[in-house]
Formats: sequence, structure tokens, C-alpha cells
Amino acid sequence: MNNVSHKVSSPFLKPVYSVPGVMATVLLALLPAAICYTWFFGAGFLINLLITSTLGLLLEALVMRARGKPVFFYLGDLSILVTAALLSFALPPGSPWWIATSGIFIACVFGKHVFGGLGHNIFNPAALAYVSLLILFPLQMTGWYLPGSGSYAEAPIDPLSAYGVYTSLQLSFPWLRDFALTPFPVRPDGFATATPLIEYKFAAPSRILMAEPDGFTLWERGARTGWEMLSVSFALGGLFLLWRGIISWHIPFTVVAVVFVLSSLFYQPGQEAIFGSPWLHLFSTSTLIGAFFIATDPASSPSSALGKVIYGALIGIAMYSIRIWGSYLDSVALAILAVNMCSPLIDQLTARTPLGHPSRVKRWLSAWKKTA
Amino acid sequence: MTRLRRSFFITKYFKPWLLRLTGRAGWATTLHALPGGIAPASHKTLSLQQKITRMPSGELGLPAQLILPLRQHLGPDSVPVVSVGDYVYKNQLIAAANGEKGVSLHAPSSGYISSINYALPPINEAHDPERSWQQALNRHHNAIVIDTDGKHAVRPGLLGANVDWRVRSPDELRQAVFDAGICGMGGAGFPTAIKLGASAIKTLIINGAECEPYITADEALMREHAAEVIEGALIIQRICGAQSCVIGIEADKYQAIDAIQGVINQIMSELQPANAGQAGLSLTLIPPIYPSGGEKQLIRIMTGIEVASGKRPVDVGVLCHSVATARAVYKAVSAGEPLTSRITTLTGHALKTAVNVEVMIGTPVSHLLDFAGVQHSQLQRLLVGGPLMGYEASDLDTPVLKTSNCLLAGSELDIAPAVTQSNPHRDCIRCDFCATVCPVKLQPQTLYFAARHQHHDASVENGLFDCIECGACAVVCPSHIPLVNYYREEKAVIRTDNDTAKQAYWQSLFEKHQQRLSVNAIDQQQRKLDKLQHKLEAIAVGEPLTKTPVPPVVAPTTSKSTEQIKQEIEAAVARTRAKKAELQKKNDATQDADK
Ligand code: SF4
Ligand code: SF4
Repeated sequence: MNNVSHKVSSPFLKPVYSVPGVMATVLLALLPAAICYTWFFGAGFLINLLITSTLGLLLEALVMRARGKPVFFYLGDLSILVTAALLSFALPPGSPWWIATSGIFIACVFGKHVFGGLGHNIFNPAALAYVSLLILFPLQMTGWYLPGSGSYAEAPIDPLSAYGVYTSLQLSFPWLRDFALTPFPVRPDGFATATPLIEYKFAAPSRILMAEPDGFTLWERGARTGWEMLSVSFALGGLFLLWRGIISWHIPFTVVAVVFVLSSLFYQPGQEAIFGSPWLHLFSTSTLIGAFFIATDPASSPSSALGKVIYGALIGIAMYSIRIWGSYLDSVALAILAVNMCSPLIDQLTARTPLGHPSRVKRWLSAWKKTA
Repeated sequence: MTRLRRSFFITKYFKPWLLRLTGRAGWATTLHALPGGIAPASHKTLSLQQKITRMPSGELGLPAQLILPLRQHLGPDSVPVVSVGDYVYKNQLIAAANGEKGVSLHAPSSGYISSINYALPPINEAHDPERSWQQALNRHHNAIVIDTDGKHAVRPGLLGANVDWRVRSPDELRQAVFDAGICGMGGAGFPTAIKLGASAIKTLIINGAECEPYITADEALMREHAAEVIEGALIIQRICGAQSCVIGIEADKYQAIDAIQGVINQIMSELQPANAGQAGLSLTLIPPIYPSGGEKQLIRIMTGIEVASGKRPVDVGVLCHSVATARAVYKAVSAGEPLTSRITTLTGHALKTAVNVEVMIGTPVSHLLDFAGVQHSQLQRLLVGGPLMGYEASDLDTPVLKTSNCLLAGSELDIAPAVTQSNPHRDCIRCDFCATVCPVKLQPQTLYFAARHQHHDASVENGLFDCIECGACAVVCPSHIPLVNYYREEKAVIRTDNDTAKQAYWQSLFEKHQQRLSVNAIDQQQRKLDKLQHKLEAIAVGEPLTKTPVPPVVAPTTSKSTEQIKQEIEAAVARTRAKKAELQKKNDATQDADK
């Protein structure tokens, strides 16, 4: 336990932040995106969120019990809810319940507690769980059901109507169909095989891009509008976190900047299907949730400002490269996981120089001279 | 609301800049940004409502006793020059400075000496021996006690000659400062006369930053005695021969700024036009950020000079004194008055009235608390100093020292609940909030891990000893880790490791080795004994003396009888017993010595 045997000494000032407070702020920052996600893609997200949160809390309690730690004290830090929320954003709405279940299990146990719990994890738990799920269940993880999206004009179902929610429930819990009075009509059209969140290169030939309407309205439930609005709401949440001082600008800024620069560099108008426009890279993929919410996970990112900039740049490069030249289904989570692995090394190399000490360059030079 | 990154830019850069634009006091030099820092709620208005209350006056009478510890400064104890029963006048020397590095002590009021070796209870455990009050107070410490007679009588003719300081030589002035028993009044308690003896000083900085929340002693001083502060600064400038004298004040202390600026303008206009540039006196506004008032921090903000680790500011030609010290110097030089009183802030939400008082050094805290109307039911902790750098006074008879700038009677509103067994802190989540606010650009979380896991080398490498213990990191830590506590312990461990304890360690290893050897010897004897005993028993039972059948060739040559052999064995047993007993005794003796 973290108690202090030494005598109480200064500072006595009341602390300003608290871990639950920080986590609650992150949850608050995710709220616009959650609303947006539900609005565009139906209740499937909420069902996933419910599953991951409840099971997450339960699992956390079990693990804490097994580790012999005070359960409620550690549940109180709310970090598992953040992981659950981030994971739910990554899961396809309408995926069966056991996807979310195994996802939160991986995140909680293998992502977090095998390393020693909050603050000790090497990888971002949500990203780790998502990538594991992609490898374990590629089929389920790439099938997205978009009820009533604008691209399915022939079957307009309002995803938030009772029927829409009902179909979402049926998708999440397939056994419901056996009892259902009006079983959900399984139509191949109901599944979009790929989305920008999965990969642009798979998405390009899909119907989502083709569904680009002339003069679409902002709130119309078109798939593309949906992704863009979602990205915008992630960015809004990220800016909120920046304003509250929960994250620093270094990581999100460099990730976005590097992705933007690389995509502008390789972008050739008319060849969108190959390289994609900067706009598409930033707003029609999961770049922004990655940049603002996943890459900024404090435990798995470096500490110093310089380290954060390097880390962010590496993530940006990895994201773009995997997306364009790699053959994986996902780039954001993979890029972040890969760079997470470098983070301890970056931390070592970029540790801050305290005031009054020779600068890093000077130290390197003198070390160099000594060896030479 | 303490701010971390949010609107930090505004407090740090924009507000001072705006003040300059709107014509508020001077912005003489370019400012250099202080890395990190926090802007906690200042609570300064609490104690700034009223003017300074002087002691003795009206409701604030003299205390019945004054307790004057012999060490209130960094350096050797002062030596009492009075004895029990003596009558002393106000301002009379009662303890002389112990050599060059000492500080002398004077009677703040008249009365009889009732003790010269009153054992002051330990106030706070030593965490960082470099900090004087802890050094002074971490163990039973001798104090002189004066039973005041209430007359406040000054012996006629005790005052120094009232000569204009401008015509006195720097050495003479320095002697006056030494005689007045002045030490740094901002907290460190470094003897002022030693500091003033430094050579090749280019810049004199007068520290009026007072960045810590709640404390307003310096601000009140500047508001009401600006002229004395400036005069004192000029005296210091004359002593150390600095070319320029800059007064740094936090940009949000409007009244203090106006007062100081007024005095400076007046002095400058008097100097006009003959030696306008002579004074080199100016005022600089610094961002109201904690801890901009730390010595090295202030120097960094105002001059951009980074004082190298382990070096002192005088090494780079900068001298830093607080405004309170400047005023004490003024009083010592112009009126020959020794340092016997200081301005202290009484504040905190457990008090009915928060106010600044000019109190006699040695006044028991309880006396002041009674004056300010302390509500004991609300009193959570009584702090001497501010909430970030102060220490807890566990005893209400704790006297006000030369370095005590604030008494904070904290209620729940002011004081954080302590991290204890029932209120543990969380694990570090590596959020880096701490690193963002560290004014020394350390990585507090790295230091924390090193300290927690006793990686002493890593601690030192990561700059543990550059930590000024400002506490900014612990205030912003969302896991509520008492980071500074960890650092203090680690520092203490490393320090002891480096000297005495190291020898003791090797000594103990050697002794253990010796002991092991002797234990082995005892065992050896014991085994021998067992063997012989065994043999005896065997003979008694009537077994043959040798287990293996005796070869016939050898048998006839044995001249010893069974009886003889038995006797020999018994003799050997006795010898071995004696030897064992001796060894045992020796071993016991060494063990006792160990204890
Ligand atoms: S502020 Fe506290 S929790 Fe955050 S990195 Fe520093 S020590 Fe760890
Ligand atoms: S207490 Fe030490 S480590 Fe913490 S902010 Fe202050 S200087 Fe930095």
C-alpha cells in the first residue's frame, strides 16, 4: 500500500487534481463523440459500451481482489471506464457480445494488470485489445452494420427508432433472434464490409466513398458524414482536454502534423484511391481519436516534451506508412502499439536536463571526446 | 484554483505585459521565463485588509516570556553572554556570535533572564539539514528565556552613532550588520554579513516576490515602509559594491509596486541631474507564479543567468536579499537597532482575524494566536511558514524566529488531509503534471521511483540534490503522492550514506565477519567435544576402543592401557570445554560491545 511512514511535512496545500477527476474529465471529453457515434451508427455503440463498462468494473474488481489490493479504492480511479469507452469506440457497432467481452478482458488483464496496473502498462490497453481482436476475430471486427445509413437508401431504418435499437440488440445478442417476433432480416446489404476506421485502402472501392452525395447536410446520416463528424467531435474532446491541462499539445499536434505533411506530400489529385487526400487521412479515419486519446495515454508515452514530440512524430510516420504501404487492417492502433514499445528508450534518451546542468548536447560531446 | 497549463500563458506572460502597457511600474529588463511553476489561489487578501499591527500596542501586548533559541540561522550556535537572573534591556546583546560565521542575538524587550539553557522541544524532524529552521529545530535546542517586565526599557546610550551611512565605509557598514545579528529573513537564515562579504558582485537583487500563498509579510512591509526598504537596499548596494540594484516584485502586488515605484522616482529625481545613473536602482515586475521568489528562480527570471548546480549565486556575481532583510539592514545601520522584531503574517481560516503583525522575535506562537482569535475546533494544523515550504509547529510555545515569515492556522479549507495508513496515495500514473510544473526542470516522477526503490545512484543522476523542495509537483500530482516527503527521506539517506553511516557500515561488516569466525571456532570445538564424548560413552559400554578391528601387528606395540586412554580423552574433553567457554565469553563480550 502507498502510505507514508515518514512524518508529514510540506507541502500542505490542497492538491488540485485527482486521478478520478482526471479520468472523469477524459470521459467528459469523450461525450460529444459518444453522442455523435450513437446518432450516426445506432445503439450498437451503447450496447458495447454497456458491456465493456460493466464487465470492466467487474474484472477490475476481481483482479484487484486476486492481487490482494483494496478493491473499491482502485475501482475508484475510474481508469477502467476510460479504457472501456475507448475500446467501445473501436469495436464495430452491431458486433456480437462476446467481441466486447473478450476485448475488455484482454484490455484489463493483459493490457493493464499483467504489467502491474495503472501507470505501469507498456501498451495502451484499449489499443492492445483492439489489435488482438482484429487478429483473433478478423471477420467480426471488419463487418460493420450501419442501419439506415445514407448509403442504403433502399432500406431506410432510423437507427435510433425502436426498430433500429431492436435490430442493434439482435445483432449484439444473436440468441435474441430466436425469441424475436420480427426477426431481423439478415440482408447482405446490411453490412458494410469496410469503413475508413478500418482502412482507407479497403474503403476506397467500397460504397462509402461512392455514397458521397452532392450537397449533403451536416446531420444527415451518411456514412462519410458520420466519420467526419465523429472525427470532429474527437478533436473537440481533445481540445477540451488540452484546455483543462489534462494532456499536453505535443503528442496530438505532432501526430496530426506529421500525418498531414506526409499525406500532402504523397497526395496526387486524381489518385485518391491510392494515397488519399490529407483531409481523408485526418478526418475520415481514426487518426484523431488516436492522436488525442490513445497516443496521449500518459503511462505508455514518454515524459519529456522532446520525447513526446519524437513519439508523436514516430506515430504519425508509422500510421501513414502502415496505412499506405502496409497490409494490415488497421493502422492507428498498430502504429501506437509499435511506438509504445520505443517509449522507454525515448524516455531514456530525452530525459530533461535540470537547470544548472550541462545541456544534453554538451554531455554527449564530452562523452564522445572521452571515448575518442 | 491552481492552474497547470490552462491560462498559464496569461498569468505568466500576458498579465505582466498588460500591466506594462497600462503604465504600471517599470519593466526594466527583458524577462526570462521560469520553467514550470504553479499559480495557486493566493489567499493573500485575507491578511491584507488591515495595516501592520505593532507590538506592543493596544490588544497586542508583550508576551510574559520571550523564548530565544540560540540558533535561528545557518551556522554555529550563539554563545550566551548573560546569566540567569540578569536584568537585560531591550536591544541588549544576550548571546554573542560564535565566530565569523555566527549571528548574535539581542533582547527584544526588557526583563529578567530566567533560563539560558531552556530545552526547546523538537519541532520538526530533520528532512533536509540544509534548511536552517529544521537544522535549528530538529532536536532539543537551547534557548534563552526572558521574563519580560513590560517596561520595554532601552538602556540609554545603547544606540549606535547616528551617522549618515553614505559617508561610512562599506566595512564599517558590514560590521554594523554583523553586530545587529541579521540573517536572511526569507526562510534560509543565512548570515547576512557573510553574504555581504562576497566580492565581485555586479547585480543586487532585492526579492520582493513573496510568491507563496497566504504570506503577505513582505507585501505589507513594502506597502507601509517602502522608503526603509529602498534605503536598506541602497546600503546593501554600497556594502557589496554592486553596479545595479533591482527590486523584483510580483506583478499582482499593486499597492506595493506603487509604493516602491514612488520612492524610487523620488530618489531618482533628487539625484537629478548630477549623478542620475549613479544609483542604478530599478523595479522589475515578475510574473506572479510560484516559486518565482526562490533565489535561483528569481535570478533566472530577472537576469537569465542559470546558476550551475552546486554553485551559489554569488559565484556568478549576483546577490539576492529579501526586502525584510533590507529593512533590517536599514534599521541596523541608520538607528543602530539590532534585529529583534520582524513582520509576520497571521493567517488561515482558523483565525478570526488575519493580520500582519510586527512581533518581537521569541514571542510564543500561542500569544499571537490568542491575539488573532484562533478557533481551536477548526485548527487542523499550525504551520510556521507558508503552506508549500513551511513546517508544522507541533507545540504552541514555538517561538517566532528571525526566519518565520508566516503563521498559518490552517483549517480544513487550507490544509490537505495527510497521506496516512487510512488515506493512502494512489500509484503514479505517469501523467507528467509534476514535470510540467517543476521550476528546476527535474522529472519528479523519475525521482519518485528512484527514491521509492532506493536507487540512490539514479536519484543523484536525476538531480535529486537540485530539487528546491518547492512542493509544486506534489500539489499538482493527481495521485496525491507526497513527493517532497520521498525526496527528503532519500536525501537524508544518501547524505548519511556518504559519511558516518558508511564507516559504520563497513565496521559492522567487519564485526559480523569476526563474529562469524568465532562462532565457527566454537562450533569446531563443540564438534570435537561431541566426538570425544561419543568415544567415552562407547568405552563405557565396553566397545573396543577402535571401531575397526586392531591389526594384530599393531596391538602388541600399544603401551597405553584402557584406563590411560580414558584419562587422556577426559583431559582432552576438559581442554576443549575450557577453550569453548573462553571463546564463548569473548564472543559475548564483543556482542555486548556491539550493543
Ligand atoms: S504528477 Fe504524480 S502521478 Fe503524475 S507523473 Fe508525477 S508523480 Fe506520477
Ligand atoms: S519539489 Fe523539487 S521536484 Fe518537485 S517541483 Fe519543486 S523542485 Fe521540482
